[in-house]
Amino acid sequence: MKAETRATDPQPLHRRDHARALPRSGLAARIGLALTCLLVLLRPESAAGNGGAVRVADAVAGPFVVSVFTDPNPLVVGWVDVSVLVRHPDGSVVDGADVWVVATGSGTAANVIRRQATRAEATNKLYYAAKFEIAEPGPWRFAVTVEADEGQGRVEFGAEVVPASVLDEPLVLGAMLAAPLLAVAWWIWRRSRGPQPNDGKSPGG
Amino acid sequence: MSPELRAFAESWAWDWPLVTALALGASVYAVGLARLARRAEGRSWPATGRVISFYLGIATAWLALLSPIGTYSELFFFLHMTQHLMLVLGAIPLLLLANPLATLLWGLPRPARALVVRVVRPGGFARWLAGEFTRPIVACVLFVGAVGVWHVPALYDLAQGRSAVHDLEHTIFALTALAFWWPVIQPSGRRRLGYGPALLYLAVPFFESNLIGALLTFASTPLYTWYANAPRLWGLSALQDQQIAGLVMWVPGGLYFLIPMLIMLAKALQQEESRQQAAEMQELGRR
Repeated sequence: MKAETRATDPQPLHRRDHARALPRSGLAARIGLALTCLLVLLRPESAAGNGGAVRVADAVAGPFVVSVFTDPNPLVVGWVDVSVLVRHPDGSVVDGADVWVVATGSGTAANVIRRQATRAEATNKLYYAAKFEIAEPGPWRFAVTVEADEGQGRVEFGAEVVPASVLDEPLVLGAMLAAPLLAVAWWIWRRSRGPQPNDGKSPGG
Repeated sequence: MSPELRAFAESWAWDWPLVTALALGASVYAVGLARLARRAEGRSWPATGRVISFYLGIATAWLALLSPIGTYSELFFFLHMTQHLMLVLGAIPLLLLANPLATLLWGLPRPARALVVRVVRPGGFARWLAGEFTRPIVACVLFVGAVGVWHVPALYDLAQGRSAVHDLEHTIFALTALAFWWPVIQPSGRRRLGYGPALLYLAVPFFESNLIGALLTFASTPLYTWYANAPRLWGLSALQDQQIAGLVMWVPGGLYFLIPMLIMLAKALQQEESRQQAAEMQELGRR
């Protein structure tokens, strides 16, 4: 119990002599931490999950029932993925289908992207997923074709691709602005009322 | 194994920012433990229960966010509900029980440690803010408010898929849960709520989770457009999915608060009894 109290009490850490007394052998750990921080900063977008907003739900396409999802929600410029759920009319999942996604932006040839959707690309292994980069905002058309032993099917849908910025989300922007403003306003209000019994105490004292 | 079940079992997400954040937390803690073990012949080590609690908290967060529960939470409301309960009632209390701050600090490189110590110094803004947010009334209102507001259909639908709003929702849940559990768990115990006040404190989210759970279970139509539009799997209709979600919030979610409430009640009664016995002994002593 005595040992535990010593370990959980942060007070000794405030003293510089303890910081100096630390061993210098943590080089590998530091390199590991630095690499991990670098990974966080790089955030490889292509590794993000898929699924997302339902664009087509249980549409009959030839001998199949097809649902299509896009991610992120809303679609933003950069890496996007299109996931496709292919089922038989009885609800069982179709394995081994050839699924292709064609994305067309603003009708110019340069803006046509064609990718095969595969199980390997999908996080949810019920889906076939295709990941690709969209460079321009605006209205895009997506066509999904499915081919298997049973036959062929095709579905289409349109989606708006918006510029990539977290500031486009009014709710998130509002929360980001309101939270620090509220904290500061609260602090000023508390200070204006004079010293409080809890001032300067952390949770726990 | 059916293809659907196999697909579910294999649907683990590899979301780099989350994987990295969780791995980073676990690694920093491990480095801290190693340093504490070398220092003063290991006498500064935290109790084994706290170490287990920390890693269980990380594992629960991992399961909630990156396992098939997280992947399928976009298709099934009841899995989304399970995910939120795992985070708010599982991961956060476990991490708080571990009281990991000192060990994490020892795991940081020296400049980062000095910076964190400076930021959280007594009398500083960060400590003041943390103190304010963990006042029982504030923490309770924020937590109950966050849970209630995010279940409003328009907001819940907005926070689906991989979106900034979804990240905001999870961040708010995590922060308010951290503030809410602090006065109850309080690892150092210096400002922990007494048994009576803790009983009342826990009763508020208990009634809220019962209310939301009952509303979801007895609703006659699907309340959330996202799940009403999702393709149906496993033979579950959107309404059945919602009813299961309601039951998840109502039964396990409610019991989670009820059990500690009963423990607090028993402890409060025990405390009262001992106080009365002591008073009687004193009275007898005076005679």
